[in-house]
Amino acid sequence: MNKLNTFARNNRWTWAAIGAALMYIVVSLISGKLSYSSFTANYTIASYLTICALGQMIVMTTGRGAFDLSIPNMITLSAFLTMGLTNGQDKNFFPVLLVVILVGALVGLVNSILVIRFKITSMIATLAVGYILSTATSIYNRTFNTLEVSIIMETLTTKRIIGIPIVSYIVLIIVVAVAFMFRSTTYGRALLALGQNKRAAELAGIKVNLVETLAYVMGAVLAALCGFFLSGRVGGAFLGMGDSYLMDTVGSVVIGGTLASGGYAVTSGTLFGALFLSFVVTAMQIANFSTGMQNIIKGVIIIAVLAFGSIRDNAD
Amino acid sequence: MTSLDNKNAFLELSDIVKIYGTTIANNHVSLRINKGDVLGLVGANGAGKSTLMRITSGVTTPEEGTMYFDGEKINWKQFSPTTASKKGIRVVYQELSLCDNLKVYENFMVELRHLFKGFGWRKKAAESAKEQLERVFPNNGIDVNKELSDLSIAQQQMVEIARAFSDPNLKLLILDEPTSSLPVEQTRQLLSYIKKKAKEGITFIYITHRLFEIMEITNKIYVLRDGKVVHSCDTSETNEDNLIEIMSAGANTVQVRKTEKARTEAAKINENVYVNCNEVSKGVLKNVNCKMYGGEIIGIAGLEGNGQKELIQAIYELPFSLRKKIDRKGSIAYVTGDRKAEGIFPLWNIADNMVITFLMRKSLFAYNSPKNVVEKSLKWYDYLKIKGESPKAKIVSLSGGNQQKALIARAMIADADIIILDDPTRGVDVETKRQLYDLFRDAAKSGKLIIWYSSDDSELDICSRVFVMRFGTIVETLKHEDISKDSIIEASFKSSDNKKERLDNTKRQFNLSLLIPILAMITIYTACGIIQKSTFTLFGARLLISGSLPLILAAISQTYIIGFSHVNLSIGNFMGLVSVLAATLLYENPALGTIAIIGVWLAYGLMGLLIRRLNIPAVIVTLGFSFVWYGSALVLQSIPGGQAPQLLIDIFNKTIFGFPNVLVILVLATVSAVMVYRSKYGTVLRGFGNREQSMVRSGWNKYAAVFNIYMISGLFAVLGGLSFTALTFSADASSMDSYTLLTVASVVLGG
Repeated sequence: MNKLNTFARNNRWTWAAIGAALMYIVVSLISGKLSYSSFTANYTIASYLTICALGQMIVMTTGRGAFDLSIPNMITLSAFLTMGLTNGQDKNFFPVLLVVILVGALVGLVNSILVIRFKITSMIATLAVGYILSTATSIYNRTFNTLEVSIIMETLTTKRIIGIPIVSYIVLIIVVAVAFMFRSTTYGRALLALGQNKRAAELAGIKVNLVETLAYVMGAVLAALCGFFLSGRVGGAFLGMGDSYLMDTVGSVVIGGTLASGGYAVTSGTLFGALFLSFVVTAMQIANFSTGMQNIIKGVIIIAVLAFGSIRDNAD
Repeated sequence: MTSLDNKNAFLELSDIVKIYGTTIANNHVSLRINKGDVLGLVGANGAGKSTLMRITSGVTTPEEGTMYFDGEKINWKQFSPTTASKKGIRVVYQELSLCDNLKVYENFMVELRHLFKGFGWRKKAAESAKEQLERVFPNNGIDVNKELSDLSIAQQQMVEIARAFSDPNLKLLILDEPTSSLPVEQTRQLLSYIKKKAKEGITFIYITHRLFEIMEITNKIYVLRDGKVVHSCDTSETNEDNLIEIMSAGANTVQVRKTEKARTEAAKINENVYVNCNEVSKGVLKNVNCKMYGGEIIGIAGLEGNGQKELIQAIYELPFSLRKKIDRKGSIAYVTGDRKAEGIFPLWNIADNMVITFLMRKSLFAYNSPKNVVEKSLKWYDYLKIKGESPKAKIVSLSGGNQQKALIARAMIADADIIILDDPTRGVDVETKRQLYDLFRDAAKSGKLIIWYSSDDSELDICSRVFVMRFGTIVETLKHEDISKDSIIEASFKSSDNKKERLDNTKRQFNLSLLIPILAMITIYTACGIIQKSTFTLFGARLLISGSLPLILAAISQTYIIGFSHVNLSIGNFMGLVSVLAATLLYENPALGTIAIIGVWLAYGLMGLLIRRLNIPAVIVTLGFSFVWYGSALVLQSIPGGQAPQLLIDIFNKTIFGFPNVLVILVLATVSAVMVYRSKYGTVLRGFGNREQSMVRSGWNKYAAVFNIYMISGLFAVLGGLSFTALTFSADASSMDSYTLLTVASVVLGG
């Protein structure tokens, strides 16, 4: 147990991974069979959550209570754009992907300008931007009506290799890329330093504003990618489709061991956190919990994880 | 019991010893003052004046020594700023301790709450604040109804001083550089007021670098040097030149230094690296001119707060406005002495901390292998003899001196041409200091430019040149052979005083932000009225209010939380839960329903306590709670419906004297919200949102504050939830989801 404790302190994703594994067992116990397909189903759900949760993680890592509340609206807008612009045509797939990424980058840029230049608290700035995005989505919503998904998109989201859809492999690649960024690139080090202490980062020669701007841009681009693929999975776009992701991104990030106060990111932990949350929801559904109960439990888990983490970190 | 010895002494400190790490800040300091004395406390930077005063006012506890005050022996264990102020000891700090978001007279109240009781305390406090300000600073022109943030620094300083004087229980007032930001006129007023008050029997300790002020008002002087009292006399027995001599004399240290000095050879100038300041003026900096080259160690000296830090920061940061004034060639690195606040990255190990600046020389997306990072750091780790477990140990596990070595290694590994040292030897032991001096010398020899600001004048004698600053400009340049602690101190004090002559005007005028939302609302209301005439009737107004009452209550609730610098993302779901409780439990079983509603209200208050206690962001905690509230509401009532209790319906829907109840409730709620906001405790709570530490220093409890603010906010949220059920006759758990974001938006819009 002591060894595990030391290991977990150095590898903060451990608890989330153990939690996810335990929940997998719980799900198996409730449903009465240990099946691979229940893993793949949950991993698929979690992989969509993981994309935007990574974005939230990057923004939260900039520190001083940074948050991106515009993620749900970005997801929805991007899903609408994807459906509307692709119009079921394969030739539109890549141009639309580019458009979606550019729109995401633009939104992230606006967020960062509000936060850095106008010194608005990130929560309020992103909230305002979120409003604008949701208004834009509502307006755009009226101009088209298509439920056609391009074949490439359909293949990506439904074609399975060893039971797992291709898009989930893409997510895995993104996870590895983000982990690599934090571990071995100059930018990753700069971002982690910024999140610990902005003034110290500035004096250490880090271009803090550029680093912070890029973090918001990445956050929004990842949310946009989530919406892009989500539209393929759902086979359409509807208002409010990203809403549940706000709480879940924050949940996955903090459960995964990332510090809510910034300066410390645990990329793999975020993936395990998302997986854990998916299993929790599945378990509750199989056990026939009411929606109300499910919400209570989810809320309590997140508060408990935060409280536990805060006590543990203060004890260190 | 007082001994015969200190019968007449009003304040007596004996053999005070205070040690910080390896520095002895106070080394057996003894001091006696009689009632009505004005004591001048002088000494160079770091002589131990501030430490001594922190001890006297209860902020710091000494390792050894005794203190008698007003015939009573002080028990160190029970001595705190609060008990000190009860005994009549007050301090005017150099750094201000007022709340910017409160009005001038409200700042008076939070300190002196017992003075202003009952109704009309505002008027009383405002009058008293005005009177007090007028007494100390006649014709000051400060509007006591203004928020502190609208005043200039000088005016804020005046408020701070006047507030200390307004304590009727005042017996001993300690002033730490009170005139550093005051204009000439106000300085004179303060000095003559102190003289007057001293005659009335109040005792003063006056700390300043401005010796002419000391000569003018004090009757006794103590000179501190290296933590010891080196001289004490009556003011009439001495003069400014004499004092400077006493402060700077110290034959024994000079001896050691001489040998060190001999080791510094004449600097070989490297013209490829330079900093050239041409008429640099910004903030406190005024017309700074200087040239420095690679191969030099340039000392920046002077009394603390005369622009030294601003100058080195300007050179490092090159702010836009100074791009043309400062010409710089060569890569640059900054080594801070304030390791904790702006130096180390506490979550990282030593190696990561050491290489960060080096990494930043590369492109942002360059690859760095973690293994290379450790190797890169190893050389300097060994060379500087950093005493730690290994380069992979956490930086916070090192002692202060070793952390400092790591920070210097950071600049060395980056191989910067220009290295700025911001007081790097602060709190570092002697052995490490020696090592660092050698390192600086070697770096200069290899052609680097070292710009070194130090608060310890005695170490600057290894510099090739020293710039002495006073009032934001360089008043003297000392050459290598002339540098000594004495010469630096002499130059620091010598220059004439060119203080700014006039009081700054207030920073900004009345702001319009409050008017905009009100105007917008009236405009929209009028527009509706033009389209639909009945809007202006009582019935129309009632409909409008009925629709918006829950939202207005929610906004009031959120205002309290945001005023506390938190945000509540669960407000909509919380009101939804209350609304559901009203339509289900309260309808079926009024007693149980009431208990349940009070229960969730308490839970809401505890949520606030949890946030403060665990120190986690309010946003995430309240986001988590929003799920708990929403889930609970769904458990109670899975589909919209229920039934509003008749009593509730009556309360919100009937009319009273022809006025619709909703209108009355709206007015009552708004008025009471404003009253709570403006009440004494409400003012204190706002003070907490701005500067918790100074509120705690004034004797208020921080946990009580956060719990109470959440309970007040919760009360309005409960009301809002109830009103929703009453006005719609039923409830729906998710009906108020949008309120959360709407309230944040409306509070932000409303300023």
